[in-house]
Amino acid sequence: MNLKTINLVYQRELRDQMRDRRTLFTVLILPILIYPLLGLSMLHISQFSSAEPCRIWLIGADHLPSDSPLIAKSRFCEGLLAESERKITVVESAVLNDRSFNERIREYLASGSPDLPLPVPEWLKQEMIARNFDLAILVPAVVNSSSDDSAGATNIRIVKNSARGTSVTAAQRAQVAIQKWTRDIVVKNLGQLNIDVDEVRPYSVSVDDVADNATISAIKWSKTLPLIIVIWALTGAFYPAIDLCAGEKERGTLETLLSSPAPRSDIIGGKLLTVMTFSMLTAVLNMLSLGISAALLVGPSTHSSFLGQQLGITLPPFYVFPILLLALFPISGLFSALAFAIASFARSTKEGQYYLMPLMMLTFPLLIIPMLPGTHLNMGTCLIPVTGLILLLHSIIEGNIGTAATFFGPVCAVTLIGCGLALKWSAYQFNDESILFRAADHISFRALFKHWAKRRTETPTMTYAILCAVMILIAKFFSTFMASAHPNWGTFWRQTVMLLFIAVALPAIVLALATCRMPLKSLQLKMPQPWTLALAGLLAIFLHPIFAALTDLVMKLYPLSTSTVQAEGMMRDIFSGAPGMWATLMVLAVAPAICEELAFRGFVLSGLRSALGKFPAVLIASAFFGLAHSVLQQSIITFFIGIVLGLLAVRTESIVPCIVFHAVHNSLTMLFVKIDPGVVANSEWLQKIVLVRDGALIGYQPMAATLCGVAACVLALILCRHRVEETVWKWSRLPRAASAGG
Amino acid sequence: MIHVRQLCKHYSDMNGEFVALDQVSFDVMPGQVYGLLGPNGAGKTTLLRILCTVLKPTSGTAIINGFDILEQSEQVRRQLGFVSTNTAVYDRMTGWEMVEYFGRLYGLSDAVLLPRLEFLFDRFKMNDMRNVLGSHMSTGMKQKVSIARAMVHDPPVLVFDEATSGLDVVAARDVLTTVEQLRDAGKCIVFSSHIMSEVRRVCDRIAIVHCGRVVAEGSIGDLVKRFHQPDLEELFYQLIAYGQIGAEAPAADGKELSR
Repeated sequence: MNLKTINLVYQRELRDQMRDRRTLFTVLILPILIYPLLGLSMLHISQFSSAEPCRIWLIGADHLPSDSPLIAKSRFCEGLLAESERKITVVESAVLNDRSFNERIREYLASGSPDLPLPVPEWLKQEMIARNFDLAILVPAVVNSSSDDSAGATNIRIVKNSARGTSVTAAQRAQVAIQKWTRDIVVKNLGQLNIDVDEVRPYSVSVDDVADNATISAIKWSKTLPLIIVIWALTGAFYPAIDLCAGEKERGTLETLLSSPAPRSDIIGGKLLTVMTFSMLTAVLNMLSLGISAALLVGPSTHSSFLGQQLGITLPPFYVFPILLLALFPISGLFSALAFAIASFARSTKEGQYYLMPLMMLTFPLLIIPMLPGTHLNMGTCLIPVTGLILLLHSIIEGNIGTAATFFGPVCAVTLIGCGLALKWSAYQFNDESILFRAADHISFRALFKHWAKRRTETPTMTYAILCAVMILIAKFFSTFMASAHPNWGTFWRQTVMLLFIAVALPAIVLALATCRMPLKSLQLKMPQPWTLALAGLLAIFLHPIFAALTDLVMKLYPLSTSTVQAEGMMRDIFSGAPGMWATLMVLAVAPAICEELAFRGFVLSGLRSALGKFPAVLIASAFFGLAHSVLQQSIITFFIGIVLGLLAVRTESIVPCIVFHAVHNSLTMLFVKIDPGVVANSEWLQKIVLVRDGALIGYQPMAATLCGVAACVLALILCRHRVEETVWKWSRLPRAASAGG
Repeated sequence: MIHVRQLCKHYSDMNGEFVALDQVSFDVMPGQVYGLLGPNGAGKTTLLRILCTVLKPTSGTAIINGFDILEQSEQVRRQLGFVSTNTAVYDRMTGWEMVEYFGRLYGLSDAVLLPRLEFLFDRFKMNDMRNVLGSHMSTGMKQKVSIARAMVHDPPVLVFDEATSGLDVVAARDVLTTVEQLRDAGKCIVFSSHIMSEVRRVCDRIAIVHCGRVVAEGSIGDLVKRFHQPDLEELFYQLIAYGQIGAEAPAADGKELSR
């Protein structure tokens, strides 16, 4: 690295960008203009919305009481609506001489009841449009309350059209006016009966806020400012990065530069610094422009500060700005490196611009998490890149310096690691000649297919293994929504077996057939030596106490939520409908064992093994196996079971022993839940094995558990010592025509 | 001066492995112009990009003025000036700024750089485009700036890749004159082209490249004698035609060629 060269490249790129009108406009001019323009338009809009004239059609005006008028001179009466709005709200009564229309209206209003009014008829809608009314108010004849107590109040109906802006405004005004009018009538009626209004309405409610305006404002700003900084830091980095990499490629100047003695690292350094400068400049200019516009719009000394009162905000505290400026360095660094890496990949400016949206989409969740109500800076959130930093800024702006100080270290570490990785990626992208001199590919599905067929390996690659696991996770996610809510046994078993097959086994089988030359080897589907099957079954029995203890521990650490407990109760009801224990075991022990082993110990594990080696592969496959169980507590337990199953698969080179282990384990767990404690009470030897408390099986006797543990160790030792013969997979090779795929 | 040994370059993409260069070897001495003659897509640009260390070879190497392109790439780039259709001029820089910038990248001090710039701008009659932005220059002007840029550090080796493409007759003639003058000044020059008349005029030795392979090499007189074909264009065409059917380049007797 030569600082002089970096500086030389940096100076040139900076000058180059400064001479580019497009970049200057997006990065420098737009931010300066956007906030004053936005503020100005807000002022105008707020005036517009209150000054919107509208026309209201009053149908059935003759039904209104004459002693309490609602309408006078084609307007609502004085006092019912704010004067400025009242003047521009025209209320016209319906035609009186159109007999057929009046007849139809009367008929319509008379039909239906106040509780269940008929829908607005089509002809009325047409009439409203034809006469250009924004709103219709339908007043039916007054119900004679003395004759029928249950009839209740007369229902005045307001017919609005939400698709029309003026109609919504008119509806709001009409509601306000009619409510005020109704209240006046109530007061008048009560006055006639000599009852004070307050007797009818003994209590009123008001809300007071102990937070001062400055704090409320700080919290509002703490949500806005970091978001603005991050979005503009990204935008400000993106356009220069595209111009500096993809643009130079397109214009042919990149090769000129590369043929100079400047090392690539120095070129990357100079260009990245330029991108970062523009990123920071854009963010700072935005902040300044926003600050000044805000000071003018909501500042205390200006005549327009009513906008500030309307929005309930004051100026952010000044100390916020230096802190944001400090935080801008890592944010800009991260986005500059990311944008640079993407820009190195793009062949042209146009292609580069297509990548802005995906980058934004990827960044958006990180920006949204801090906006969600109830998200705080804690050990979990501080480890998410960008999110952690924004939450840290929230804490500082809100004045929670203690919290901010606690998580400052982890947030910094995560941010720096993120920056480092992005930097490394961008350097890699720029150094890779196949990326830098990428020619336009002619995308042809035929070529893709041929390429894929030619590249097929004997067993799956890691990519396909991960793809399979992800497919299963997604399929499982959707299948939870597809399951019907209250099934009986018949639908339950069909649903469970079908979903297991479709969501778990099918992806593995299809991928094995489509992507591998040896599908059976990929699924580890072979008959092992018979003794391994017996051993797997015994191992499952002897390890069960350990897993039962683990389950107990996990449930104590992370108690099940009430909804999960309820769901478990429901499951028991379903099982009670099963024709026998064997049916329950087939559905909940054997079927999952076959499907899940095919996927996780079969396809996923053999794919991961090819790239990672045995033990890391077993760990990762188990993690996927755990994730495939939607309840967290279950995920933790199945992760550990997955490790044992993975080791068993690696040792025996087959998933059949794993299926046996899995089925036996699930069966034992089922028996534990279903067995009648009375049976245990009557059997002397069962009492020596299991613990019963409060009429429920809660675990194993310590003595029995210890013995089982020793036995499991012995079995594991036998398995380790015994040499499993090398498998000849010849018989699993598919016929050429089927396997080659072209 | 330039010693190219067994250079290979393979690319792989969806359509499989693609051989851009296959075992290319040749030598160029100071005061010599070495012509690379080949149709479009023959691998000339790939070869020259490798010589300028912009690309890395899959195997083989080249020594440029004593420096290895694999081990001493930065030193190699200091030894040569590269003019190509792919090495454009910055749109938003003036001619003077462009050449000055590259002079500084080559590490020239002001005391050396400024007189050199004056010399080059006088030599190529570019004084009226000192303050003209690249975007406002004609193709000929751009090529002049490119050549001045490649010569700013007075390199012993110069590489011209289709340097006359897109130029009018006058501008192309200027470029060829420059190449001849540089040769006479003792520079070691690689000149790639697909235009026979240019090659015949400036090159001392030529290599005919086709599908990444050198199908024939020698001085023009040698080649004419070896293949009994006085017309260089006809010779070129026939060699390419044989290359395309995958046959070995015909041996010295050249009987097959005359059929």
